Amino acid sequence: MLLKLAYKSLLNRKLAVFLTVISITFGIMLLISFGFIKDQVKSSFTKTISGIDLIVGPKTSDINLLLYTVFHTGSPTDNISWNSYQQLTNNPSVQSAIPIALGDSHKGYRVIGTTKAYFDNYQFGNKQNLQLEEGHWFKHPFEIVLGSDVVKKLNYSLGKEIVLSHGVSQTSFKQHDQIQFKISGILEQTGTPIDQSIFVSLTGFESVHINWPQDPNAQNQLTEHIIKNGLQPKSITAAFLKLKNKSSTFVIQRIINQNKSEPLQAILPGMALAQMWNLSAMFEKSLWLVGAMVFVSTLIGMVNMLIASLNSRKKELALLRIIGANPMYCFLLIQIESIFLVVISMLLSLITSYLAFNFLGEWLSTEYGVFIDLSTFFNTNLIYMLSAFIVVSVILVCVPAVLFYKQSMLNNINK
Amino acid sequence: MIKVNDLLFSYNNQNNVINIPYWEVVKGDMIFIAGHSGSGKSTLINLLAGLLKPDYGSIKISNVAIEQLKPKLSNQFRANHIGLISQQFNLIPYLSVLDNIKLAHSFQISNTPCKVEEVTTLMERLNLNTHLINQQASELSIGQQQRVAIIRAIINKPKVLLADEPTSALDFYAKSNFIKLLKQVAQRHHMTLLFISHDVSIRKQFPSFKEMGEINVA
Repeated sequence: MLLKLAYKSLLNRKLAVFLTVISITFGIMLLISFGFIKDQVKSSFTKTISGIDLIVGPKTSDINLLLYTVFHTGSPTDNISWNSYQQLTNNPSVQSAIPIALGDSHKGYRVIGTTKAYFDNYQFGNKQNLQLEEGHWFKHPFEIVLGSDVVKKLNYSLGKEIVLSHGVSQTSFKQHDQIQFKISGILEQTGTPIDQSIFVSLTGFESVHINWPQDPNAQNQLTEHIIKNGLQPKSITAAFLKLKNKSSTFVIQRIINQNKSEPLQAILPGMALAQMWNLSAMFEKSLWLVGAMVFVSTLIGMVNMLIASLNSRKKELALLRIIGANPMYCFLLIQIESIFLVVISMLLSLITSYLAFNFLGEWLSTEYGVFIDLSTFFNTNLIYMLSAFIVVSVILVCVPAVLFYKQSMLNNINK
Repeated sequence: MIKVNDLLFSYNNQNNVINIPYWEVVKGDMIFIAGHSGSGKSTLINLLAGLLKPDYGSIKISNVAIEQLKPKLSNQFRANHIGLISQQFNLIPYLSVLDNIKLAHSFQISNTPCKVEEVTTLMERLNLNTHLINQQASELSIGQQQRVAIIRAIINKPKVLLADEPTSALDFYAKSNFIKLLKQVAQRHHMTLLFISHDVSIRKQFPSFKEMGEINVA
């Protein structure tokens, strides 16, 4: 009967209840969405690279090396010589090495000079390999492969010819217009920085940096020579290493870091990613705090609504006492009413958040590279969060509930 | 049925509002108690219902000293043995007739469910259309609300029926009908009825009459 009374009492105050439910729903939605997006961003972030055991570059900080090799942001401090790269590839513990050459771009999208080893060995997510949506990986020095976002944003298609620019900024004053690169392949979407990258062969990358003759005949001869013999770079920006035996990772890392012929830096991508994520912990905590404050303020709104209703419900409380209800019954009535409100708001916010992520998932992945995996929406963190909402609301609602309790103690037939 | 001994009560330890040296009401009696405003009529009802605790003295209903009952037992005793009808606090407006009655029944100590047939029988007895059983209380006329309030007051078969100015909002004929109905119900269910009002014009309708001043010497 208590449940029915609470339910009917809420129905009797439809407008106030509706506004309160809407306000709590938004508060809960904000926190649920923030928690879910944070988990998805973290998952997308930590899955940017997998299957690579070591990243080797010039001496710099771990995070900087990770930023410019994996996230294609920031600037390399130096290069590593081709000889050092050769030494790495010849190391018997190394299964495969992927060279990375950086420094050029096309309309703000970074160009990565590499080999087919990149396509074959680079993995992301749960050890997923790169896949081509259309075309093929470059076979010719002047062929180029584009990430999916580049194609979508620039509206390019297979066979189109483009030129590279020197530097990595959106506006470049130096175009490498001696060579036109033909788009040979388009990669499937990965939800990683690869979607916003352009891949070219090391020979192609190197060829835009040599001195080209002015004479068109000489240019043609040089082009034919490059196509036939290739160009060996003197240096590259960094290299990804895949080791035969994972247990030797730390040993190889130490050997590389102590290399005497050239100062090198080897980092474990997983550890560097974790370090980088930790940098955002403060920001994350601040967002949680803001979300929690919004939620508490919406609950305070509910408490206000209940307190405001106390005056108009004095008769109801008196009647309950007359027919035999004890003050605790009145206390519980308010608590149950508030739990009703919070549970309804929770259900509404869960449904709306789920539907919103379902509809906005593709947009989030295209615009922000955040892959939404709705199968992880209902997780233990969500259950903890929802339980916390109920506990917090029960605690806050003690204020109006105690007022109702006291009021009911005072109520008798005179009042 | 009701025995009051040396009863003293004051609000905030100021002057006594109630001072009853001795008063006894026998089982099945139907007493009209009249008194002017401020004579302590409603306070007396609250004391008899266990909603107020006396400062001194005792109130025994069916040999149970209600002032000595712990709050939980006092509430249970009220739910089981005392039916209250008042002018103001009649029904919860957003509940149906049936739910208002069921709510009162839910506070009864025995967990027997409130039977709809029992409610409809009482409704028929009180000339209340049984179709109104699921009607919201706020949609009923004053007369219908008063009848539902009587059913709610007697649903737990109380020993004592306390009526505090239940007719003050009614016209002469409605008053007369209501009192007739209340007396019939009290008689049929062997209840002791205390009817309190400032309106002495209805005193002739009751077999016993007391002035508040005869009981309360405060």
